[in-house]
Amino acid sequence: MTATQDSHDEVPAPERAPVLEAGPGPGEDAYSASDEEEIAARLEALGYLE
Amino acid sequence: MERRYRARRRLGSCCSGTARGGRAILGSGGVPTTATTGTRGRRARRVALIGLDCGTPELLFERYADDMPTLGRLRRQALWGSLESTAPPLSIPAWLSMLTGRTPGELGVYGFRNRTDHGYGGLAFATSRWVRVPRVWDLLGQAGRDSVLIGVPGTYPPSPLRGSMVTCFMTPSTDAQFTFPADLREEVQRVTGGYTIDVAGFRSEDKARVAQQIFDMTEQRFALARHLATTRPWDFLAVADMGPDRLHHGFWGACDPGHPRYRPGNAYEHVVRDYYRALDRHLAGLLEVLPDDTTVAIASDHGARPMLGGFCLNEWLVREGLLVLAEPPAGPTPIGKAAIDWSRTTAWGDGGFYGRLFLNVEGREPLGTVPRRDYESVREHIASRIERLPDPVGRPLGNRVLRPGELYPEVRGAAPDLIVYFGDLRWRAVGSLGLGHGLYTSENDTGPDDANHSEQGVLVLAGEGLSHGRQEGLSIYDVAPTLQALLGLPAAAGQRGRVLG
Repeated sequence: MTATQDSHDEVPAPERAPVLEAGPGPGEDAYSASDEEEIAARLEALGYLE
Repeated sequence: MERRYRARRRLGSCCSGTARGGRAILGSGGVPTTATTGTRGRRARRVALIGLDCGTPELLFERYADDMPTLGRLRRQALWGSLESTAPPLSIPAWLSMLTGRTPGELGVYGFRNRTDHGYGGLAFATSRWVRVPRVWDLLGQAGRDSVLIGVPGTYPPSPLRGSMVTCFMTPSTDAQFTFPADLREEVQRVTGGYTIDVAGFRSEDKARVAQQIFDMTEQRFALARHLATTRPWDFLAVADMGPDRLHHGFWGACDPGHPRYRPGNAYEHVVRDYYRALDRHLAGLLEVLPDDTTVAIASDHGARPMLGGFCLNEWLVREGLLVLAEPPAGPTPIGKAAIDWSRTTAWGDGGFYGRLFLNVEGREPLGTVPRRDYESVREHIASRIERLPDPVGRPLGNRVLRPGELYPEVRGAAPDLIVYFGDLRWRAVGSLGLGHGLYTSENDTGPDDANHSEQGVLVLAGEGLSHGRQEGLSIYDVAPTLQALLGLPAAAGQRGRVLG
């Protein structure tokens, strides 16, 4: 059995969705060039990238 | 007979302490003894989410159900069923969607790597910095309550939270900062005997080594979860184990008589069963230390299915005259390194477990060739051609072609123009050129792989006030609002899904 959000008194209906950005947020890059190579190699081996 | 995998040295302390709230009251086998038929009014104040990446209903609920007595006992007291994943059913977008209640389109995250703009070169990994909306632990922290996170995909680089975090498999290495707070790192290394981010050297024919690493990694994740569950205050504990995903990709063909690579009596015929037996013991060990007011959620981001082969998407686009090369590749060449004549190219693709097709649109891409007025007709023409592609022996391949604008209420970032499930995800998309295989490969171009992702993951949700039994129609978007409701938090603005109960 499932309940919709409206049926839960303790869970108010969501407000209107805020405008979202896409892509990385501000700040330093998550990866150095060598980090990126490491992640890419690992994911390629797993079949995630190709 | 169960194959024995070497047990790691004893990892950390199992039951050395208690989380705030006292010792768990768990039944035999680690199943919570709390009633599941109680009134709806009471909210659990504490939730443990145990994530099994690639946890597959056909395995957990059927084939290996008898090998997982702890999960079985938990399931008998739980709301459970198949959990429909995101489109595409891929770990990063799926986990982000599960814990934000937002679609990949709203998040602008369609895969591990995403175009950062409409140029031809900008592919970047989606990291924690791509997530612009709060996740469950962010909302909980705003309410002044604590979380413990271990390995949850999409958490690298670590960001401050109220609680403790060990980042995910997208962490480059343990040389990087992989914990929050930073000084948790040494403790994690000590407790685990050296933290394993992910399986190393996965694409190897040294199957014994790969299997052992997977068994060890899972043991380590659960040992660390036990340690942090019993030494840190928390209201929300989330641990995600990548072991099932790595196991399925590496060994599905060894265990499934329906897989084309299956050979009866092979050395790894029972490795998946043995893994799930071990996983069940680890699950029992974790449940045993959870406080008695804990609602337990076991969830996966997607499932798995046998992979039959790969379809060379860009090779096909070249043959169709839609992708024009400035010079032919000298050998196997990733699409990102191919010499493409963009001024004469209509479309190109990225490969992986599903295909992403991009149109070269005038005024959008730097050297776009598809007039905007022709966008829909060109896209539909290509979609129709892809849908009618045959398999290697001339039967329909059964491709599904999806349009982001129809999948998501909002489409952000540089989304693919088409999302393609070759053979309805029985075949992978091969993006590289110059492989010399024609349009079809029996293995992907970087080596053997046994499984592709499927759209159905799992959810088991057990705790006071929740109903029992199998439920149909569960969605990954239901998870975040449900966890929040269980934690006494309201739905976040714009969140999809419904509260399960």
